[in-house]
Amino acid sequence: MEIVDLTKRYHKKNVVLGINLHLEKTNYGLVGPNGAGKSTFIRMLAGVVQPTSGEIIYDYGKNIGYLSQKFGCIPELTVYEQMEYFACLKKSTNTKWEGEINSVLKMVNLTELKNEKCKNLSGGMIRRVGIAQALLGRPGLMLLDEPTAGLDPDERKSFSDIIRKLKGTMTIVLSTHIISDVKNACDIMLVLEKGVLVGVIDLEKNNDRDIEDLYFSALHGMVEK
Amino acid sequence: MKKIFCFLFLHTKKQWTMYLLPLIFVYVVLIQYQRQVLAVADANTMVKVYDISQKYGCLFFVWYQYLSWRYVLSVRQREVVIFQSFKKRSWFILNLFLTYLLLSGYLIWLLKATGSINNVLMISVQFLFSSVEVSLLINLIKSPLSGLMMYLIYIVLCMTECIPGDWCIINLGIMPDSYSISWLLKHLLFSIMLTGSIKIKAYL
Repeated sequence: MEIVDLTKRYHKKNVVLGINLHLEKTNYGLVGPNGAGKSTFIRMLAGVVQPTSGEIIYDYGKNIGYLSQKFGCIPELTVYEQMEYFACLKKSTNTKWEGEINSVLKMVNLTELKNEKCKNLSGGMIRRVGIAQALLGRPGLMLLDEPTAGLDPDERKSFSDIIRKLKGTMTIVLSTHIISDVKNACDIMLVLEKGVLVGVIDLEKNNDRDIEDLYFSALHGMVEK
Repeated sequence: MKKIFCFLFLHTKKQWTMYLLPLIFVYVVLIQYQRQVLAVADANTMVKVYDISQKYGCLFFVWYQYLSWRYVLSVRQREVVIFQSFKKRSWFILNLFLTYLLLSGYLIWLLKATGSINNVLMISVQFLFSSVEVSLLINLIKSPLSGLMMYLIYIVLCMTECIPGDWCIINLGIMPDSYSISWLLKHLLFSIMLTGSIKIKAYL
C-alpha cells in the first residue's frame, strides 16, 4: 500500500502534511503527542475523511477493517447479535455469517461470551468486539484508532497479544499515545508530530534501544527515517 | 440496497417488541375507541375522530423514525456505520415505507369509517412531514433520543396552541382537509431548512 504526499488542511491549518509511506503486511504503531494528526491520518486511510491533496493506493481494493476511537456496543444486544449487525453492514448476503462470526470471535477470545449482553462487558472486551467487527470480511488493512485508551494494564496486554497474533496476515496500523503498546504489538513505529511524519523506526533493528528514547529522538530529529 | 434490507430485517427483529406494542395499541385500543366516538353522532364527531388520528398517528410515525435511527446514529456505532457507506436516505425511505405499511390497515379503516378520502390523504401528508422533520432533527443534532424528545415537545406545544397554527404539525379542532396551502409550504420550508443544516460529515 502506498501513501503519496498525503495532506489534510482544516481552516488553512495543516493537520497532516505531505506524508509519503509504503506499508507492508506487518504491524505499525502510529504515535505522537496529542493533536499530532494521528486520528486524521487514520481516518483518511479509512476513507471517512477526504484528503486535501495526495493519494492512497490500496493494494487489495478497499477491503478495510476499522475500529474507531469512539467504538462501543449497543448495550441490549448480545455480542453475537452485535456482530450480525456488522456482518450485515459489510456484506450484502447472510450466507456464511455464522461461521465467519464464530471464527473472528475465536480470534479475539470472545467465543464464550458470544451470548453475553454487551452491557455486561468490560472496556477491554468491548474493544475486542471492535477488533472482531474490523476482522469481518478478511480485510487487507486494519486500522485501529486509539484502541487501548482507557483500558487497564491487563486489558491492554491482552489487546496487544491479539494484535501481535495477527502479524503478517494483513497490514495493521495502530494509533496510540501509549508507547508500550507499540512495543508489545508492533514491528514498526511511525512518529507523527504536528502532522509531519518525523520517524519510521524499525523496532527489531533497534531492539537494543529503549522505545521511549527512540520516540523522543524521532521527535527531536535524531533518528534515521 | 441489499445491505439496507438486511439491516432492516435485523433492526426490526432485534426491536420487535417496540415495533409491535404501538400496533397493538392502534389496532386493539384506538380503533375501538374511535368506533365509540363515531357512534355518538353529533356536529363535532368527525373533528374528534380526526383529532385522535392526528395525535396518535403523528406520535407513532415519530416513534418508528426514532426506532430506525436509534442504533444507526448512536454515539457508539455511528462512525463504523458511516465507514461502511451506509445510505441514510435509502434507510429513511425504507423505514417510512415500513411505517405506512404497518399503519395502512388503520388508515384504510379510517377511510371506511369516515368515508372522507381528502382527510385521510391529508393526515397521511401530516405523517410524512412529521417523519421527515423528526428524522432531520435527529440527524441534525446527532442524537436519536434528544431528537425524539425535542420533537415531542414541539408536538405538545402545537397541541396546547403555543405555536402559531401554520407552523404546527397538528392543529386540533379543525379537519385535516382544512389545512391551508400556507401550512403545506411552511412545513416544506421547515424540512428544507433542516436538510440544509445537516452536514453529515461534520462529526467525522
